[in-house]
Amino acid sequence: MNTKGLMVVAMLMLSLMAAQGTLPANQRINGKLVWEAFESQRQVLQKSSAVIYTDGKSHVKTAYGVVVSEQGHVLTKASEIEGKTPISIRVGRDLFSEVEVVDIDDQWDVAMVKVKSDQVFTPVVLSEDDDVQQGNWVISNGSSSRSLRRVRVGIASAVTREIKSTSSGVVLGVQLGMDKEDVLEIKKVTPKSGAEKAELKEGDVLLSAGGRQLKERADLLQAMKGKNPGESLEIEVLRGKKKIKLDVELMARPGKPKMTRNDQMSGGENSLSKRRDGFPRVLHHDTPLTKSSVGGPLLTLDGICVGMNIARASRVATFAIPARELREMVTRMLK
Amino acid sequence: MKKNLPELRVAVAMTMAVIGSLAPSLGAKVFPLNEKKVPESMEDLMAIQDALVGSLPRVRKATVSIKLGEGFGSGVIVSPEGLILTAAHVTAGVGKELTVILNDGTEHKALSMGLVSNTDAAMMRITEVGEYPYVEMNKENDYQLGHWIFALGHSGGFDKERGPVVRLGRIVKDSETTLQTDCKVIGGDSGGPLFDMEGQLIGIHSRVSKTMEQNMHVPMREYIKHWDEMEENKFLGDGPFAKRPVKGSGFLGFGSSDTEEGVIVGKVLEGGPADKAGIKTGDLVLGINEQKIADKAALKAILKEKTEGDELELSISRKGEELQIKVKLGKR
Repeated sequence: MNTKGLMVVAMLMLSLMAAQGTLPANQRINGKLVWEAFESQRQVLQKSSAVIYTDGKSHVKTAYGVVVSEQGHVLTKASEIEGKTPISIRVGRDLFSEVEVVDIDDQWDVAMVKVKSDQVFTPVVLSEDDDVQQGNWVISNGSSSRSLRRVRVGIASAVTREIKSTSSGVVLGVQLGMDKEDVLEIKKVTPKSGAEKAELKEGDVLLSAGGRQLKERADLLQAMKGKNPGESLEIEVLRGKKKIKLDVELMARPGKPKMTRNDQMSGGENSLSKRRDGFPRVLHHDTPLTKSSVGGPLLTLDGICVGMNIARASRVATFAIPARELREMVTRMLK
Repeated sequence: MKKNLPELRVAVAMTMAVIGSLAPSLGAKVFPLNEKKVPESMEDLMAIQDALVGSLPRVRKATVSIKLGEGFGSGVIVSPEGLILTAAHVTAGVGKELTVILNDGTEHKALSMGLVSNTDAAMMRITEVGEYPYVEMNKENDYQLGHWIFALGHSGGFDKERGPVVRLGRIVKDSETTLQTDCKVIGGDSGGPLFDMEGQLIGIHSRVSKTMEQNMHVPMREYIKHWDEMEENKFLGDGPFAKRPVKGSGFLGFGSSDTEEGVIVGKVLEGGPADKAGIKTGDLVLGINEQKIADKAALKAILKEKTEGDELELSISRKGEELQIKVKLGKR
């Protein structure tokens, strides 16, 4: 075959390869070249997305956080840092190891931590708009190095709405005596439960819950129905001859949550946030975050913070707390 | 089944006419961002966002949820009469009764039509007369590697408050019978639509692989290629996405015995196909689909050629009265 013939064959092969080719990874929606167009939003993350570590070495991140004050208040996902110490935080290039937990909101699974430093921090600019229109770009913090925050992008996917708890219910954290049918007497208080925190005692008799008279066990279950872990219930008990009213924080019924087929399709426990439902309202977007990449700010193209990523929910969905609720939470926690 | 065909043909002819009238407007615009390797500026990103937000309200309305027994999938309406494109593994057969849920929560009866079992293409139609929201199809097949696209679907099943879920991505790979994109899909999205930025249908969600960027869709060209056969309720191919019904797999649901008069119905299975159709013990079976039945062997010979879901018309003599009763065969 002559050179010309070879050329023709080579060109033919090239065009075939192009026809059956694959889009290079760096040009895909979360490819490096596409991210370059999001440089201005990246700069916001560089200053206002905090990297939270709990490994003691500040090497492997546990979650991200949202910088909400110039004094170094940062919001993060409570259940990801719960019980883990020491907490250290990186903002920009700077690492801070003196960090204290200021407040926790169980309903939203948010912890406020405070960085001890004289430095002036750059809080996010929280959106005044309540909702993000479906189809709008949203920008999150994806991966990070010591010096750089990188973006990961997606779009608002669905109507902002409540995500009901799918857990098998909530409990007070008490065991009731079985011997008397019409008297709900506490036999045992579960350690570290809401009941213990509220100082319910062995021998207390439950009279009412959430305003509902308790005549049998079924009444108590009815009073807790539809409640999410972290919510409180007003309980009235008879202790000796005194009637006492207490607020008891409900907790999730122990036991492993059921994995659905879609959960497994999403990578199961390794990929999904442990707490991913039971939120009063969420902004639903399609950014493929990992479970350790939630907690940080969610930005629109103009760099405004429209939410805080709070859960990796499935292969196709990440949930964020909407700006309206986030503003209320920040105001309340900073008081 | 036979009796239904003419009616179906009418619906089909109307559908074709509508598609024909849409043809001139197709392929008129090209989304300019597709010419660029990647978006380079805020303006480019805004162009993608504006195109998506502009297309969404129209195409959302035509994205439906499909219920078949306990399973659920998605589909998209492509004609005002309610012709729907979906995936073969969602309809799982020809002539099956399904339920279509529109975004407002209203449920409509539907019937599955033809399918291609080796590529996962399938067609179905809403059987209730009405005027339904529908999308345009990209019949030019001008979608290419790197084009920006978006997916809609009822991920995880119908949720009225949430509505259909939208995801953005690009075409990652394009082969004759499969489009791969980085638009993430999941269970419940199957059969849902993939659109170009003009909101024209370019594919239907089929399956996923392990990584986030392995989302497979049946390209529009596969539907166009087999359009007529699918309209004629044909089961095409022997692939993994739907199982071809096996001859002899259907059953009537009654016992019978040969007598001097002919075949007499014995015990009728409660809740079985014959029971539902109103056949009673003691009925004399004279014929099936205009073929005379002389004995049990003749009855068996007919059933051997039929499959579950087929409809038979039985000529019955009951106390001297002659009745015509239609029975839809159950699964043996």
